[in-house]
Amino acid sequence: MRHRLAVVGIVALGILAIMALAAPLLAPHSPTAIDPTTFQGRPSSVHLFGTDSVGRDVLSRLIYAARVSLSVGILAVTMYVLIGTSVGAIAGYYGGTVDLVLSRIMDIMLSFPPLIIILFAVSVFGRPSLWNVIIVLGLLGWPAVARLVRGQVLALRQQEFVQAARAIGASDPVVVMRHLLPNAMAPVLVAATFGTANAILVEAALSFLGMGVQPPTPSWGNMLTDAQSLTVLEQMPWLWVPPGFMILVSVLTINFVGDGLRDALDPSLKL
Amino acid sequence: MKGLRARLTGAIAIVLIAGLLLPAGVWGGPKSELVAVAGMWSPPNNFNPINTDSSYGFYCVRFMFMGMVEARVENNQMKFFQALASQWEVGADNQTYTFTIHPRAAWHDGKPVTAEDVLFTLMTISDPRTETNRGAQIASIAGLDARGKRAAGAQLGFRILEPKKFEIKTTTPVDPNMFLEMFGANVYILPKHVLGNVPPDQLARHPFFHNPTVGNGPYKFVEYKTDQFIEFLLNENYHLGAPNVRRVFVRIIPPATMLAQIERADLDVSAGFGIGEVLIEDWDRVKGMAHVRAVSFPAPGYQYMLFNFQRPYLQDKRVRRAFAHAVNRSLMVSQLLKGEGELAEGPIPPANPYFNKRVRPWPFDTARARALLTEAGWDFNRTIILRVPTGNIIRERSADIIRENLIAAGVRVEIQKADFPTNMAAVRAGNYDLGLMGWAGPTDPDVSSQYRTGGQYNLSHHSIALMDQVLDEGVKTADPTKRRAVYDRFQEVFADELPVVTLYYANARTAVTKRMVNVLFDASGLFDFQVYRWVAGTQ
Repeated sequence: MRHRLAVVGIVALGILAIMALAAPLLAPHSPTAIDPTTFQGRPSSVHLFGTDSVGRDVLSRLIYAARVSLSVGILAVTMYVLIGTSVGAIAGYYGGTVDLVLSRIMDIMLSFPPLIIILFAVSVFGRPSLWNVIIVLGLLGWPAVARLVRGQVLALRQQEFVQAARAIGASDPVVVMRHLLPNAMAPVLVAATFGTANAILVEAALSFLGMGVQPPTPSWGNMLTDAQSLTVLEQMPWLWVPPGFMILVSVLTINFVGDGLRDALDPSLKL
Repeated sequence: MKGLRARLTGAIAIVLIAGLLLPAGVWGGPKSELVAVAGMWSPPNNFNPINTDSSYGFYCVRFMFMGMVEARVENNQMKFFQALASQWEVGADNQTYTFTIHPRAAWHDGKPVTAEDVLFTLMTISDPRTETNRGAQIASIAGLDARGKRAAGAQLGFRILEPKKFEIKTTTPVDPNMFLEMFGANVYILPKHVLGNVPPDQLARHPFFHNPTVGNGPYKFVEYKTDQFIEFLLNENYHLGAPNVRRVFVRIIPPATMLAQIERADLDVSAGFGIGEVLIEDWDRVKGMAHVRAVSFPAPGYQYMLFNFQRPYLQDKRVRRAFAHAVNRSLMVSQLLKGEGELAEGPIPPANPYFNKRVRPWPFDTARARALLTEAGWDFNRTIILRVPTGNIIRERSADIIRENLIAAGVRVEIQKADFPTNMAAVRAGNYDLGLMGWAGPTDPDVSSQYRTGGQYNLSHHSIALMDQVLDEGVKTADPTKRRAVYDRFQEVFADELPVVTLYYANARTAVTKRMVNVLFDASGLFDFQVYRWVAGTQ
């Protein structure tokens, strides 16, 4: 049952990925082109999903925005998984003072409310942009992953195969890379999947607040900024339902995939 | 354990309900003729009558502090009404101005308002150590420089004739309308008996400006709940008559929620032009509400695009004209503003008596723009930065149109958005190519502070000799007819030089519940100057 959902998730993600990659082919208009005749226009044969507050085609922007969301999700998570895995492995493997210092750093970073820190970091980084969002998310997301990896490495370190590897004279990097990390990756993979969904949500929130992707580049988050009026909410659903729906679908499907992965990789369920 | 939790829940509920009821009138509650609620978008930074740096601050200041007179445009003519002064006379030389303060004009603590208070206010503003933005308003007074500052040993052109009567001399003859608007209406008088002993360099940080209990206007300060509301209580002894509405709350309401507040009649008056308006999307809906008067009127403010003159490639006026041709400004009015606005090429509003009808905006013409750029040797591979402050949604949208238009003309543009203070700092530092900004000014056409070399708000950092010359002539010309000719010429020079591109003049869109009577809106006074005449009905 769960796996069926995961398959649905993978298919939907695949469609999103194709949408993002083939955006120029799929989009009926340029995402920044302005149609001077119709601002906030209803869906029509020319503009299937209507036009936004500056007369741009909502459908085309929706398609192009998939690029932003997916690249933020994938790149930011890749970045913090790399950092988190390294830090976690070092902390778990060496233990002692190294572990103590790194673990306290993780605790400190995890104790801040993430969105506030991200908002602060994005503004300190200079001007908001897609790359800044990716970098900030990448630099701030690692402690959770590091904790996971550290826990796994701590447990694995005591096992016979690791001690055997050490006994035959394998160097520290070899032990970590060859023997420890491959066995510790399952929970990281699951965390990374959920992390991707979370990164998409954070990007949407940041762009909605004007601190994310800069106009006129479309992102689902900044498309939602049009909906800051009661009249738009009540009478112009084409301005906010499509981007909202896309955020929902992408986050939901990635979570389905994450659930499936967790079940597949969880040794306690394999019995 | 369970009983304790139930009791706790009960207690919390009571506290919450009490919290809702206590500031009745602030959070809805029964509509009373004693209470009126105004709404504005952002909080004021302080209540300093000579230094609050936003219209939000001045909106609040005007409930508590008065100038000598009030100014208002009626039938395309400037008219003046009494405020602190009951009489004023203009000398035959257009250089001597005599004011008589209303005999009953008094401070909220009962002390009379006297010529000493006026002198104190002028000495404070003109002191080089004082932080103030009123300098330009008094610059024409004898003994002061162009920024309204006093040189060491200079004699201020001010004479106390009687305790409540004084005379001011200007350096040169000036247009009485200009003087009466600038000094008369825009300089709010400070209480000498409260602030007289504060060193000028410490005045800006004085606690009085966060708790201005001694004013001279129709309403007294009660409290400011940070970012929530400012409460005013009537001044029974106001010399022009005690207000009808006992309490006025000015609430801070973000633009998006204002409509709901108007619909529920929790809000009686939207503060007005630039600080509390109805969003353009919501305008049709407000017009359809039975209990609301939707008022739209030409406002004295405009949105414009700055050029950074420190960039050599923006110093050629052909380039700037090309940008004016490239940007589709009529589209902004017809679509972004849904027709609620006007175009003009310059800083004098179309609704202003000094507006020059013969100066037409450069038409939207992409081909012409491209030709002008080519002629001026524009580098079509250059990417320029358009800085946009966040907050004004229509302005943010106009940035997307500008970028698209400029790209069509071959100019590469990158938009950089930031909150208003950050953006302003970048513009002041000259760290931009193009920038969007808004301005609202008095009726008097002197715009030296923005467009003269070295002016306080010359954000384009430009220096155009011919423009300086015409602006100086405008300030010095006392004869109204000759002065009009000077400003006609100024607007021609402006359209030719284009220190900025004027994007549009948006109408002010305000809402007033029908229970409110005597609420005024007009194009000169940004705000209703006769708040003491407001009447609130029970419906």
